[in-house]
Amino acid sequence: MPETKIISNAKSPMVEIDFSSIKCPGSVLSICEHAFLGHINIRGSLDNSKFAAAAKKSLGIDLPREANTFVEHNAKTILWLGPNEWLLVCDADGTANLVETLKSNFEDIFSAVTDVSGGNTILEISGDRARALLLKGTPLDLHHSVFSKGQCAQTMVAKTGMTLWQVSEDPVYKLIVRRSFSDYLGHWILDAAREYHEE
Amino acid sequence: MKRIPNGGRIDRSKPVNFSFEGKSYQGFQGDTIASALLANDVKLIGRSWKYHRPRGVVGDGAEEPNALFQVEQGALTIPNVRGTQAPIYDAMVVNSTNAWPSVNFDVMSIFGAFSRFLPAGFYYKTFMWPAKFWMAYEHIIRQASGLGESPRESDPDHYEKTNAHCDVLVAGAGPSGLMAALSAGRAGARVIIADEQEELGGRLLSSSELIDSKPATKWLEETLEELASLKNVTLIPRGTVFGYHDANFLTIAERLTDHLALAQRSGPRERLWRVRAKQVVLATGAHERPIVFGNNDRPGVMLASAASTYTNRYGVLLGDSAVVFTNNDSAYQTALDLKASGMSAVTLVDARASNENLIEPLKAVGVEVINQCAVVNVIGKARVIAAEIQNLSDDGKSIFGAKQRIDCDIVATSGGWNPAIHLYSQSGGKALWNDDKACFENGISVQDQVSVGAANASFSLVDCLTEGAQAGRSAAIAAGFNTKNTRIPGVSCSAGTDLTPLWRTPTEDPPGRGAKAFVDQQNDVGVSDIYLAAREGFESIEHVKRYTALGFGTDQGKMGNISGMAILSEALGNSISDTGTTTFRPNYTPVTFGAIAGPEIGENLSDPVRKTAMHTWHQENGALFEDVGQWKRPWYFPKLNEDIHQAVDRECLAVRNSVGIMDASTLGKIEITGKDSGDFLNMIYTNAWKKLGINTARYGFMLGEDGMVMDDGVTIRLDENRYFMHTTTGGAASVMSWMELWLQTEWPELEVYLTSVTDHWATAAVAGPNSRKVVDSVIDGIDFDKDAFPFMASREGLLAGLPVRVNRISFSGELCYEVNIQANHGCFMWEQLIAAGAKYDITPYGTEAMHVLRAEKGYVIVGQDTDGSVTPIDLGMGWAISKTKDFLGKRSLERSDTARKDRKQFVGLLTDDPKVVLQEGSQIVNNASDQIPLPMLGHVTSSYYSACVGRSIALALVKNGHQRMGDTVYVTTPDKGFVSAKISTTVFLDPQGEKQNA
Repeated sequence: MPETKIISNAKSPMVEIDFSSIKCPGSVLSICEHAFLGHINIRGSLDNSKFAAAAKKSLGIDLPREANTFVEHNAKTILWLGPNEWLLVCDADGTANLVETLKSNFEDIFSAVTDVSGGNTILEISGDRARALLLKGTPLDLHHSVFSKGQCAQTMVAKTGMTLWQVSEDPVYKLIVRRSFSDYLGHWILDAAREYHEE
Repeated sequence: MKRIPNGGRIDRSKPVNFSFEGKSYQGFQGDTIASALLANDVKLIGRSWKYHRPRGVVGDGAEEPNALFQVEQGALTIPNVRGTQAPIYDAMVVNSTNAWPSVNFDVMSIFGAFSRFLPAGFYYKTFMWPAKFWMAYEHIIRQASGLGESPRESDPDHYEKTNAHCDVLVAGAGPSGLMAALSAGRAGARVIIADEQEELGGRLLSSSELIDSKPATKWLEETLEELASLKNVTLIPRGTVFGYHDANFLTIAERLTDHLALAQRSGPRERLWRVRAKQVVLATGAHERPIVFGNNDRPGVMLASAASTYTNRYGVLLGDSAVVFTNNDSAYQTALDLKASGMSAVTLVDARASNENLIEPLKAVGVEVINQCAVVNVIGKARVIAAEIQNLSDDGKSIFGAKQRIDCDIVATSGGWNPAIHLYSQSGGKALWNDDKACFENGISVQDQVSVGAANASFSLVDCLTEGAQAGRSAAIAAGFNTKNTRIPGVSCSAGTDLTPLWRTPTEDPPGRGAKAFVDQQNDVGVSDIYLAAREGFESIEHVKRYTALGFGTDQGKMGNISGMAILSEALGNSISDTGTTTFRPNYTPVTFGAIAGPEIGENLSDPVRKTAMHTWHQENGALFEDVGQWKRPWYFPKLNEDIHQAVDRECLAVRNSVGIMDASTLGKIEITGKDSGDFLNMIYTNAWKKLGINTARYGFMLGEDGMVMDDGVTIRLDENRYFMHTTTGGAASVMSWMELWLQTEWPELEVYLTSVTDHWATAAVAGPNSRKVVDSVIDGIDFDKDAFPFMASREGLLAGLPVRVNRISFSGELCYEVNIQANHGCFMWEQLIAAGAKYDITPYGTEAMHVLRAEKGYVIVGQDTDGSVTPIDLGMGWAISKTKDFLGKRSLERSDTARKDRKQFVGLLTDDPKVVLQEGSQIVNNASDQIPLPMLGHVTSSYYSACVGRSIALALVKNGHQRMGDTVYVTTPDKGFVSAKISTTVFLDPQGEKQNA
């Protein structure tokens, strides 16, 4: 998968990490960074019907209420992070407008909308070895009977935090890591993938 | 070669060449080091650690005390490899661990002649005094003993770790473990089964029994095939379950390449499994224990089960004649196995009375059986030549009659079986003594765990299979699966398990006289040592262990411990149950540091390295980095041949005289939103916040509940209900947790949300008299006029069309603008500012110059100038404390000790010699010539040479310092004794703040 690390005036958090150095077929393991997306942190209580309605009005879909699940709608992914916290991932272009829309619809409602796009980056990990690779660093049970498409979790990978979600049953995973830890995680992944080279 | 023509698990078509002690030998694929050496008739394989007595192979597994080898050389060398478990491979280099210069001629064996003078506690008693010589003694003692040598080079191998989850973890793949895995696996449960041996199968690998009318190995093969075909079952051969922790968390060390010839190795050497299991089945088997008798450590004396294993599994012909000495039924099979291997004479000596049913099959093949006798001594030194036997009294407590000598090559002995309850004990369970079976067994389970088969003191094959199947089914049901019974395979009539306890052959002389009889061969602990300990007043088994070394070492007493406990109880006149066991701790067998460390070593992976968005620019521009928490921050940017002093002087002068630029991205940043944010800040900070104007900033102190400074920083009001807090770089995470703690537990009624935006923003601090011109030239939409955009104000603008927030705050005392941009554009922004500043020779500066610049202004660094015992008043910043509102830590400021006037206070220090730069941490005293001990006034917290002030400057905490301006004090130095300095204000430059307000 082609990665974009640098655009005219921006660098991805993992600009120094080259996942193409992992020498194995994509069916075994494929990793790429999705940088330059919009990330919006949303706080509020679904017990407050005004908040729930305003969120739906802004996003076109209800915020996921069930713990550790996510929904996808109109090229937006909305991840449940906590009983009163969500992360919305969207295209970079629409981010500023969406922040403004949310803020204005939430006016006078106890809530917070924060653009955190610069603080996160996303990795997509797929292939037969994707699960094994992640299990080297995360204590989360990723067996399909426990964690599957539609679920997300905030947990540790190696010595940093991540927000992980499963996009498809193949499996394809996506994970968010904080910008300042991403280079470390990149090095960790390159090391963890060593045993799958030429597999 | 001493081999039986056929049979066993070795592949006679695949010879394997290896060396031992420099000499070449040949074994077969499937051999261990021990079996290959025995097949080459090498019986003497090492020396004992204390007496340097010749030693041979005793066991066939993890319990082995003697057969420890140094394998390979240089960086790849591995100490203390158990030869009973390690397979041989081509060109393997094996050496003895404890013999110098060689096993056959060991200079240290002189110790053996003096063994009577080297009893338990000898080293403690002899080398205790004078204490200061212990260092010298220890060196020699360690040389003389020592078990193996660790490599001196760094480890070239790669190690992996993985997490795993399962419904049922089965430890041990003998008959009971396999049945458990099979019945749980068939039910659909996620099963992990691990076994420490090279092959799965446990005792079935050396068994001559029939299962379902087939040889046990055939049943094993079919069972493994079925298990391998089940997708929900993971088989881990060469995987030792070595730790059992809380919440059914277990650790497995899987050896991936140690069995391969060096040239064939690739990939990781070991993998550490961190397993979280719903249910655990312990099928760890049992260790046979010997009966202790005189010279029972001579090479050729071994466990009966080991003799069977070498014969049946490895096809070794152990000699031409054997004596089998037992107190139980299981060794009868060994006598049959040895006879069947082709030995001309096999004699079974049973301590018990004769039993026709047992004797019949032996007599049928020509094995002589002698009852109510015991082996009292072994003849031969480097190898067994003969055994001496005598009559044993009915109560087993004395011997009588004439000694009878039986010539033999090996003595195989069985004193019964000790269930391997190590993992059970690690799980928190308490071992119980079973009088009928004369062994410690598991008591009640304290976690979701069950022990089966020999680990549960059920020694017969049919019991092992049955218990395994039941446990696997129960575990699967407990994990939520529905399942029927698994059929128990039929077993040919199993050997009996009757036993009459006999721990040692009684002696005519008291222990300590006559032939040495060893309980723990690895630590050279004899019966006499345990008796000595008892005589000297040691009663607790834990104390006796430490006095005699019983059960220490790499084998942790797997063979000798229980016998030692029984012999201690005999010496004390206690029951074994009262004597009890020592504690079984992880690890079951030694685990390499590599496996424990895994890949998390080296510069990149031992700890996260946090980098800012501008990191690549800093690297490309020659920055040296400083670790601040996990962050890499530029320390300074040396030019050409500059040293740190020259570079920092240049960077500081550039900021004061023109313009500098610093990466401030690492500061913690938290957005605080909600209508109660102002009230919340009022409680968190010492000063008042509600009247702060929008787009203006204020400095604040955060105190702990003890009133001491915890963190500080500038917070900006972005709009009515929204603030932007800066924390220190190191304090970001703890401040966030601190504030969440109060919000969630004490003030849930406050409508406040906190969001970390530390990583979202990249920040450049542009500081110096020319900074306004630089930022003005690249940022649109902001009026940078000094009155329109005053100090402590905040504005939003655009840089090349990208939104930026500019805060006019300063940590250098200069005119300064901190420019924040979405971090993906951080490097771009930085480059734009550098380009715009070129005409003013804009100078990137690092943390060292930042430290000097702020010290020139007397600005505190929390954590450097404070240490958790300093209040804002101590810092001379009482102005930051509101008198009219409550805040966290307020009440503590009124404690008598916190409120007293002569506390250590924050002051400046100017050395009388302006060239002397004090060392941070130096103690300060009133008068250097006073009598020692001198009262300490305080210490230097920060100290630098300031190019801008033109002399050294320092900050310090000094008792009553605020009242002592101008006083001379004395400061320690590492090399010049005391130097004199005068207490001064903390502000060394621009006291009116004209520069930052310019």
